[in-house]
Amino acid sequence: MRKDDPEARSIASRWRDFWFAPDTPDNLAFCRILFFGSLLLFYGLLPRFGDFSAWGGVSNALWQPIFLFRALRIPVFHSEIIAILQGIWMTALAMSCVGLLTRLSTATSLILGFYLLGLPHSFGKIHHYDGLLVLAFLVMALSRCADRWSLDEIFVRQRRQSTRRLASCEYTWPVRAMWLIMSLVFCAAGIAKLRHSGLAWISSDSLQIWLIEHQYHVANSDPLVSWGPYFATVPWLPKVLAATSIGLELGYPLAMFSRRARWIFVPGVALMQLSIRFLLGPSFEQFMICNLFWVRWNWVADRIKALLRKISGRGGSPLGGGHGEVDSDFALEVSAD
Amino acid sequence: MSFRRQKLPRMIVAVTGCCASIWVLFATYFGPQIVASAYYGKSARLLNSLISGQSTHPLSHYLEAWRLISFEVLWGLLLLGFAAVIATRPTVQSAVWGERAMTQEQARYLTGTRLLVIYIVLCVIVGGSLFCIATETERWPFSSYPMYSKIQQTYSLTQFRLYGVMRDEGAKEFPLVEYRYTQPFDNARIDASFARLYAHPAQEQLLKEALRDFHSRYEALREQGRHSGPPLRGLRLYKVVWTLDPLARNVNDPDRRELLAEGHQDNAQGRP
Repeated sequence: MRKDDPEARSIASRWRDFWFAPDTPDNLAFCRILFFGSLLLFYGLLPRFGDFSAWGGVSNALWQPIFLFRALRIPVFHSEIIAILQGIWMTALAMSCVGLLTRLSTATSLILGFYLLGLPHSFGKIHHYDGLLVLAFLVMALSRCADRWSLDEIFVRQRRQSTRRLASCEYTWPVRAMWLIMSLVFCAAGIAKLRHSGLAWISSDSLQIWLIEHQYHVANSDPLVSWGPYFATVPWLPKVLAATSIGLELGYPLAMFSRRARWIFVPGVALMQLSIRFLLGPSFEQFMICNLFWVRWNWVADRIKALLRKISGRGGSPLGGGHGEVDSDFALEVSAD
Repeated sequence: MSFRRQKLPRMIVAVTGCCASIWVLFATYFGPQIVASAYYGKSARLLNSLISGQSTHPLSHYLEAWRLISFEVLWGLLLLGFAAVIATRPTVQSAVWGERAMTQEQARYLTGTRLLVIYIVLCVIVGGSLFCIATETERWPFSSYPMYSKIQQTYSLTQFRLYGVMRDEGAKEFPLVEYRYTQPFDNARIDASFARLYAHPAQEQLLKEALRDFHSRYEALREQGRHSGPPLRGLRLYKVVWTLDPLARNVNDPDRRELLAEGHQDNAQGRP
């Protein structure tokens, strides 16, 4: 293919636009606040998920380290030490949320998150609800997510007497990377079903059986409602649910490229995971939190701003300037220093 | 800026050197004494609890373990110091986090090592995922996400399940299916863990140890008031089989149960 081939140029520019189209720092900053804030609340308020120290007291007979723990010879520490690490991790999540020493705090969230979240999976069974969080921590640790709406930004602004709010490609790729991670996860789940069972996954009675079986306390959490067996009594319903699930999982990567597909697959899969939680039991709250990366928070902020302006009947807004389209008031503001 | 470029790395080297020296002195002169006193139960409670195999291992075993640990900690300290010095380099910082002060050109186009770092991260994410999908392996945090992928053909269920044997009430049994009794283990993890131990060549010893562990944790949680279950004499591991009822009415009434192992915490031995 020649370098000046228009088609090749088009693919290259589409690639660049997808990953590195300049964006304001606001969207990524909102994602940072909501992502780390939600995780802090989730792990802080639910000791079932957030208390890792109990694993320090479990017998070695039950220790079956996951691949990376084995390869890096990572041990299970004593309960007291794990409790300290857990405290540091929660502090790092809080600091990442408010954007204080963000490089250090996001890196700490990644390193300790890898250890603490990986620990339970080294005891008998690997669950699949939090693997993507570690990858999300990696992306956030390497991103410039604290360039806006952070304490770091305030301190830098005070020190340098200037604001730096350039629209940049630095604020696009982390969000796209999160889309990619989620797409890989769901597509992998769909491929696994087709590979192991083919279309029999839909046509067989499997989902019908699982809807009943999960009333027997087999999953990591019990179903929130006992309606599963009643759903199973309608012969066609589990098959429709199975077909919908596999369609949503396999089609999920389309959400990366199509705005219309995004409106179908992202809420569709979130609804599917909610249904799983209610009818079968396994919990996917961490996935729910990661869905926030699909929301265009600039757009939400603009709508809120417009609403507040309308309510107050004035031109200004308590939110102040700073978000909006790339070409708006601050898009290419250059630092004075 | 000059502090960051010149003094900070030197300061990190000095701090690392001091920490490493202090650690070497501690590990050589004080560590073995602390290990010995913990071995004989004469140290702080936390340190004493770290050594529990006095009946099977001599003191020299723990001193050797201490020597290995102290070397690993020393290496860790030096590595951390080295990483910190590297992280203060402006070129490394701009590669890992981007330029501190972006020009318009840098904001619009990423180039050089920064772009390379981003592509490496994306390659790790895609490569790790595709590897697991292709090989159907679990390499947490990567996975092929195989849950619920194999079709279920029969309306029957087999589970490894723990039953508590009450200390009173005529040694009645009840299934430990509530998380508060078995935490931090959930039911899926209990089934998978005991299935693995049951298939192990040293199953008898491992199952006994695992049951002892579950029992002592159950009692500890009960004494802390974290559940209101009855005191237990011990635990039993059963392989339980059900024929699934369309409305799950036989959850507490399985078709058959096969006793696989029985165990109890050490200090519960001989209790009625």
